Amino acid sequence: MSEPFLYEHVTAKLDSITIDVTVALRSPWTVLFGPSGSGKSTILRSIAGLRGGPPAWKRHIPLASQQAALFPHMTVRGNLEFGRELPAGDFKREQELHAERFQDLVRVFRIGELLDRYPAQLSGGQAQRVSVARALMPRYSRLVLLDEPFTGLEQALRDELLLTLKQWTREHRLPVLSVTHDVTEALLLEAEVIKLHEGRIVAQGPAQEVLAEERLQLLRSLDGSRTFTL
Amino acid sequence: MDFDALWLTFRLAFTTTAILLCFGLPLAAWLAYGRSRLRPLAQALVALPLVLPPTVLGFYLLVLLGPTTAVGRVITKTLGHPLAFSFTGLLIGSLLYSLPFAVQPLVSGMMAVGPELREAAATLGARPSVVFVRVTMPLIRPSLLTAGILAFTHTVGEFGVVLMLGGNIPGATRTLSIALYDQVADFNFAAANRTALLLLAFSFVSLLLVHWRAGQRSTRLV
Repeated sequence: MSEPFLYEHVTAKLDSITIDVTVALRSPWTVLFGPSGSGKSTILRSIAGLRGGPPAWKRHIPLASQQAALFPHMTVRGNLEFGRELPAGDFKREQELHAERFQDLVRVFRIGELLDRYPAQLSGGQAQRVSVARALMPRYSRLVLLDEPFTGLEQALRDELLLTLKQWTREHRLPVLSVTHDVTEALLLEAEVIKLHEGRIVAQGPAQEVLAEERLQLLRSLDGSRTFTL
Repeated sequence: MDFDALWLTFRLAFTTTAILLCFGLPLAAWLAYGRSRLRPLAQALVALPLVLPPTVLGFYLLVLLGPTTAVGRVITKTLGHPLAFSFTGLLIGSLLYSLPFAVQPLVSGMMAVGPELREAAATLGARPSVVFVRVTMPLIRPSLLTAGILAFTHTVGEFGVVLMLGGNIPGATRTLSIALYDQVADFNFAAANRTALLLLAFSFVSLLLVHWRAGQRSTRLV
């Protein structure tokens, strides 16, 4: 197992629980897994810098929140371009790389038709796709945070998007920390899983091991006449 | 028609509005988003001219800017003349008197911009000034218009502060509302009627503009 590349100590008091965890990320894709109210979103917001510490804009850790927070006065294209950085140096090369990334993400998330629309003209699922694509646009991110990125999307499309995204982030060496309470999602990503329960980390490791119990339960509950490989 | 008064009134209202919008934006941002414990105090102070009799404000400014206080003496020494009974003095009075009319719409507008939008912008690497210019400002445009119109019309209509602080000097401190008072005192009702009608029409059309825009954008007035 490789060395962690990011540590974040998070303490918070929610309604009924006290969160006190140290999150250590060492895998290209890590999943925070736990039931609703276990503190997943709070941990994500802390890592993004929205709950104190060094300010968010200095951290280079974009967050796609559960409710797509698209800028209503900008088109989809404007939203995607918002995270654009123009560092000094080879300006032309930067422009090319930026345009390439833009086209790439538009293709991955199938939002080419939507580029000139405003957020008010998008469905919930479309807005979520744009929101995740926007979080992936900045080229110098240390990590990308996805809070239940594709909830509400049709299962087949969600699975396909997750797998394409997993490959894309790996190719671009962009680490991801995502949040889910869906076992299939965590297993599908073959990610490292941090399992949370009432504000504490109860297990951390490969999805197949950490979620072994949940996986068995899921398999039992499935129709025996069909075969599943999870 | 007293064209000197008309010109002076609009010059005063325009300058007041321009300065209030410049200073009102950061003040409103602090009132809407700040976490300081002094916020309630600042909010009360900003709103004070809404309930304070204008003559009270005018009286204290007259005293403060006059030769009896240290502030007044320093100003007189620096400028060579006291601020009271001058256009600049009038401007200071107008700025304070119309402050809530510029700041309150801006505060409501800023509070209506969801925090999630500012947070998303920040996590995408935008520093606070960039978030303000690219996210907050475009979204509070209707509030900016409302703030501008209310500050302008309110300054055009002020009477008590002007009378206390500026007196009635033609070309320097005699505004339309003072001219109207003079015309009535002289029993010149025809001229008074023209002045009053102009002020009435101007105020009505301005408010109509605010409400028409507010209705179109379904935003609140204040």
